[in-house]
Amino acid sequence: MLPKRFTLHRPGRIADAIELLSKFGDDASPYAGGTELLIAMKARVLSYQHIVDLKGIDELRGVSVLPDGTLSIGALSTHHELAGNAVILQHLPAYAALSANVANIRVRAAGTLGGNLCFAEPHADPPALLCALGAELVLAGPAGERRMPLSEFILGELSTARADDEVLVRIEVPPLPPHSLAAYRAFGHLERPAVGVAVVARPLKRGYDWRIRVGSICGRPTALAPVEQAMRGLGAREALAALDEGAAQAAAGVEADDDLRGSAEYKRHLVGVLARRAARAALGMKEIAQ
Amino acid sequence: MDLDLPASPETIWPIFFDVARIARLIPGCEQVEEKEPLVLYGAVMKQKIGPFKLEVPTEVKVEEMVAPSRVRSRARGRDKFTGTTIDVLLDVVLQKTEANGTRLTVDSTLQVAGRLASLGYPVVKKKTEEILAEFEKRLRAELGVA
Repeated sequence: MLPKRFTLHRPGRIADAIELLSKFGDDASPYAGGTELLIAMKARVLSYQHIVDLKGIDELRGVSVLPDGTLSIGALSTHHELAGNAVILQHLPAYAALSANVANIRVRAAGTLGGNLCFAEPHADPPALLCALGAELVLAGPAGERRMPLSEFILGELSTARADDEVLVRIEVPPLPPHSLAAYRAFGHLERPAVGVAVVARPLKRGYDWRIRVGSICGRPTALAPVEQAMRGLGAREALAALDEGAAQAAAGVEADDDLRGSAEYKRHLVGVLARRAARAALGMKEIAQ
Repeated sequence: MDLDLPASPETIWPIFFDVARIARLIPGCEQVEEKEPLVLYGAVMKQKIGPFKLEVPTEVKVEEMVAPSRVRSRARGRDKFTGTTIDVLLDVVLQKTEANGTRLTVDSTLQVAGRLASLGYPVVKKKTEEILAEFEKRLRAELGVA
């Protein structure tokens, strides 16, 4: 099916894009990779009179390390670019690995990180790991730039804190202390994950400060808080034992939805399995088949 | 949903058939009309769910009614653009309590179908559940119940 007719705008600067989005309000949508937007428009569940193509805006591109060590990722970076980017591979190899496994090569080649976050389809890989890493977003609108944690940006399924006249400019990931660990594991029968679990561990004097975020299971990434507490400050083996002991119970408390990708019960089971696998992967241990 | 209300079933019953009043209690409910008193009603439900805009012309049919204690109605509608169909069965029971109050019980079953559902977006079902929860909140406020 073809989408309904629309006018395509191709601004060359962020300011021009904001002006267009302000003028047309919710009759307009920003367009980056189109891997979510165009599918929904072709299926005729979404319709806009104006499409603002951001791909000509160079200010939205590029990956760099800021003087304080923060990793700055342009919103138009595609998953494929991030999977092979030298800076990402050096500073966040777990994120490069995640990008290399997003959907399929066509989606990775066209789909952008910014588009993925702004469409907020919950069955996506990036949000869980970026939330565990404490990523922040920089948005530009008529009043200038503002920033907010990704964990607050995603309000729920297909819903974000981005105003109609705002453009996501970049994603900033704060530097991890030396000897930090990170890994992401996901599973799904279809191309999108049914559940994904991200684990980030920052070293303490003894053991680690663990952050475990569950993605895809409900509208926004969710912390496995009781397990994080139980694992804090323990040595690697004790932390894994605490995870083994508490994962199932913590998963039972996670909000989950029945959908095409499985029942809530099945997804909660996956949380425990994937959390254990991700933690072992982060520690460089063999992942145990569950 | 269960509510204990400080008014008799006879006092509460008319609210459910006061078209203007009930419309105020349902978020996004517009153009309510009484097509056939106590039998058939029409309304347009307008909702924005994330990026999706739905406009569902809905027909509400009273299937069973025992005044002032029970009404069972079915609301059906279809959004023309997205092809989303919604079918809600509402069973409302008003039971007199000892203190001359009312225990109001609302049971609802909901079915959503169409392209949004087939694309794997369970958002319409969630939104409808939110609307029912908001209806409960507004009904409590209307009746002065905390």
